[in-house]
Amino acid sequence: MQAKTYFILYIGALVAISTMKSYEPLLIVLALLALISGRSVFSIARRSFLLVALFSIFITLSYSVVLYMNNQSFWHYFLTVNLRSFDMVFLTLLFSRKVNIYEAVAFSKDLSFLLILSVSKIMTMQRAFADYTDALKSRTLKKPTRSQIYDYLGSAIAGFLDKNIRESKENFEAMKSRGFSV
Amino acid sequence: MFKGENITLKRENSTIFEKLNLTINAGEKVVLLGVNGSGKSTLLKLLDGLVFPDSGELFFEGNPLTKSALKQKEKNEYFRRNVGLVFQNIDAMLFNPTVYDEIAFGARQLEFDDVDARVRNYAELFGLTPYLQSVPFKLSGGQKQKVALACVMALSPKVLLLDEPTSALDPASTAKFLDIIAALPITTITATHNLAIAPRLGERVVILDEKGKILYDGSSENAYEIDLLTRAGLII
Repeated sequence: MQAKTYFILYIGALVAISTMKSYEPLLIVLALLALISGRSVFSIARRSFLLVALFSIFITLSYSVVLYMNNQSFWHYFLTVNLRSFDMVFLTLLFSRKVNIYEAVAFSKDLSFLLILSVSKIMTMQRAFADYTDALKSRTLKKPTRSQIYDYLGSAIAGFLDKNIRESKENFEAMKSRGFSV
Repeated sequence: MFKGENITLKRENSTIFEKLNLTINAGEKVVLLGVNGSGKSTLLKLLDGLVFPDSGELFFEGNPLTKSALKQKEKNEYFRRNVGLVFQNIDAMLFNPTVYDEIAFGARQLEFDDVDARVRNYAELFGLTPYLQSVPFKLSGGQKQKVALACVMALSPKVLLLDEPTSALDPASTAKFLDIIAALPITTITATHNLAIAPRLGERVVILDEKGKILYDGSSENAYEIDLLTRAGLII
């Protein structure tokens, strides 16, 4: 099957998962995805869990607490929302492992540009993060105090944001300079 | 000072170094030359105890430089105090709210009595005095590079590892930096691919080829021959 067909199936599956309103069918989807992923099931599941934990669990937890305080059942909501996110992330990671994503979006120039820009941004961020970690390790002589950690985190986040805004502006200018109508 | 024996380092599917042998003596000024991707930065990270070889051994002042050795508080403190690395990606090194705090970062950790004097001295040396209260990451590339150099040098390390230290400096600042490095009575290992400044960075030259193998290790007198530099991919 061609990468483009897989891409269409992937988008269709994403839409289907997003419309599921209870956790039972989402569990079935998860079982199917686990079967398809074969040996990589655990590594994909671990990554999916981390991503969902980072972006979804914290938010749904606060909603669940509100529901609980209002004496309403929160389990159904909590499970459904997080399982839906988990299935979608799992599917996306599985898709990116099994299918050449560049080939999959090659039918659209705009999508290809978007994908390449996104991937290059992710790689730049990965490299920058590794550099930050190394630099902190290299310059840390003693276990940092809590206030040093806060200072570092604040400055690192501000630096990251500043760097990204500047780079995004430069990307935009570079694209304009190379004739893209953006 | 440093001794590497049969160092092999692999990353993902590629071999960066295979059975690399290198000895750096105390007080030497070494220039590490090589094209992009030859492993210069990785070698500096190895010497800074940030990356560890897959096989082979690396020693600092006769003691093994290993992950487990650096997990020991005293050894880590001693090593980090005496070996300073200026990263190629300068932004990564700047994480304090002001330039003053940035330069004082290491000295404060070591509870030096003369933190303020050190900060002012190195700020003066690099022309950073007007920026002491500025936010480091908002400075220009050249100024950031000067801050990074000042904050490593403020610890008075025994070894200075420099990764493309003049890449963002203007010609005047570069000339001043070269004078400062030449006058430092410590070991310096500078990675660069800038042949214009290399001869002034040290009398010993180590040239890495594109596969991370040492193509030349010796005096600067014979290092800049066209044949050699062509083989290293540094000129065409």
